[in-house]
Amino acid sequence: MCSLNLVSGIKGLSLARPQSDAEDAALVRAVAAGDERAFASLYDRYSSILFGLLLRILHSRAEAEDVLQEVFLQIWQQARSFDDSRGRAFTWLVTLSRSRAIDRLRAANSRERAAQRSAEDAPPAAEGEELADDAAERSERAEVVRGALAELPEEQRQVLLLAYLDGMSQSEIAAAKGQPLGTVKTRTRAGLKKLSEALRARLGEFAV
Amino acid sequence: MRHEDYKELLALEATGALEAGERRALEAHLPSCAECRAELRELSDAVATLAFTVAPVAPPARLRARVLESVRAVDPSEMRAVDPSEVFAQGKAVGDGPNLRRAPGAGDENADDWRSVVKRFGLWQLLTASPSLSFGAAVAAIAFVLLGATTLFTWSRTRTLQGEVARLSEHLKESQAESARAREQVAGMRAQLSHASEMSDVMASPGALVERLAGKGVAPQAHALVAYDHSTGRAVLVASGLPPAPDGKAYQLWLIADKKPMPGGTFKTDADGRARMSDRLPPGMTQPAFAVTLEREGGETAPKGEMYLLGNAS
Repeated sequence: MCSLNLVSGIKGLSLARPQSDAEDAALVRAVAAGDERAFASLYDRYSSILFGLLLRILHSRAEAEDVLQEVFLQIWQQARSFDDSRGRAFTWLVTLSRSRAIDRLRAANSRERAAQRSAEDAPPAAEGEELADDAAERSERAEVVRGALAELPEEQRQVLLLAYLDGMSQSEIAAAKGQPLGTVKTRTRAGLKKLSEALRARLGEFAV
Repeated sequence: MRHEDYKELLALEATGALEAGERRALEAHLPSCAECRAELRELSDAVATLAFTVAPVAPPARLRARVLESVRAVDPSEMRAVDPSEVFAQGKAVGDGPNLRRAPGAGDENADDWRSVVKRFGLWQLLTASPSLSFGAAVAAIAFVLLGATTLFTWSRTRTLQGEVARLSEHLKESQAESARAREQVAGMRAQLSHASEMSDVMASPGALVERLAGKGVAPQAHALVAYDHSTGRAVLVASGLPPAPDGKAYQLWLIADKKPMPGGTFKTDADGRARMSDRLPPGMTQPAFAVTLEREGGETAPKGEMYLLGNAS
């Protein structure tokens, strides 16, 4: 069974710019039809944010560049499989990027190396590097997300970021923080639910 | 597991933190539960927004060219529809990665695929030939004999097909290698063509500016042309007479406005010292000047290396 308020909640989650979600989905559908221009637009729209994410996970420019190229090839090849009933197009892009980056991290068993590298090869600051067009929209979104994230208790925020952005498994987090596995799982669940609710609550201020 | 137990798994799945066994169980449950699907969607959308908390970093311009060129080399007929659960599944390799044609080696995998299909087909024949118990023992006995015969037939047929498949995959390998070479050539020509059309696009735009760059002391014979559309920031550079950039180094374009250099893309030259590059620069500069320096390969945010080309507007 599927309650009505859940469905409206999902529609409501499209963050900050609902029409930009529709544009994204339309771009992905055009890519599925083999449209190279749509593919280039998708790249121009999201390569910076995905590259930032990949650098954050991999701590290596060379590896982040490799993975970004792989991800966009995968987008080109699998756009037909994108199903917007399972999530936004942006979610799909982020999920693909994150999975590939974490696969690479695990394959090379290189998290320690990544941690070392993060000290010596920190990703450069974003100032002045991103395309001016989308910068305002992106920082608006970043503001919304940061605000929502700030509503979470510290320990929930931590486990969520360790799991999602550092690709640590729940047992790795438990070991690293010296907490019982059950506690880590509960915090991840509670944290993500709270984040999702906080994002939805913030939508009111930003709806176009 | 009960519905409530599955609901407990959704947040971990969205975060990419579910163990393989639990993920399989959840995937089996989802098709029959709209409520869990809806909640998983909402949580996945929420967790993906965490990407916005990371500072965006523009990848180097050469990567854009490489990505766009590489997809042109992928045959649209090889674009696959993949099971969506595979695409959204977290933390595991998705599909078998970009399906670029790798001519040598690919045939072996194909042969294995085919063998397993052939084997499965054999099994299917066996299954359809197997008797229903309700027909009784006599029927079963006859069916057993038939089954034996079918098995023998299937076995010999499988061997024949395997031989056939091996031959076909040999052919396939050869023609794949051939078409990969052809595709490379086409990709090269397309890149030239798209560059030419990009250049004429930029020059034909109402905000177009064209600046001629002359070689400096290190490369007096070098020269270049930059076309820049100040309404969109699109720019195209054509250069010649540049010495080849050493390993680990690349030339980088700079847009100078109010004496402040802003970084453009990096590029390398071909064997004849020529280079072409399409770039995205900050738009809105109505009196820009351009320069080219030699920097480390990933590009710099401020010029550090020696200047090779400078526009006459500077």
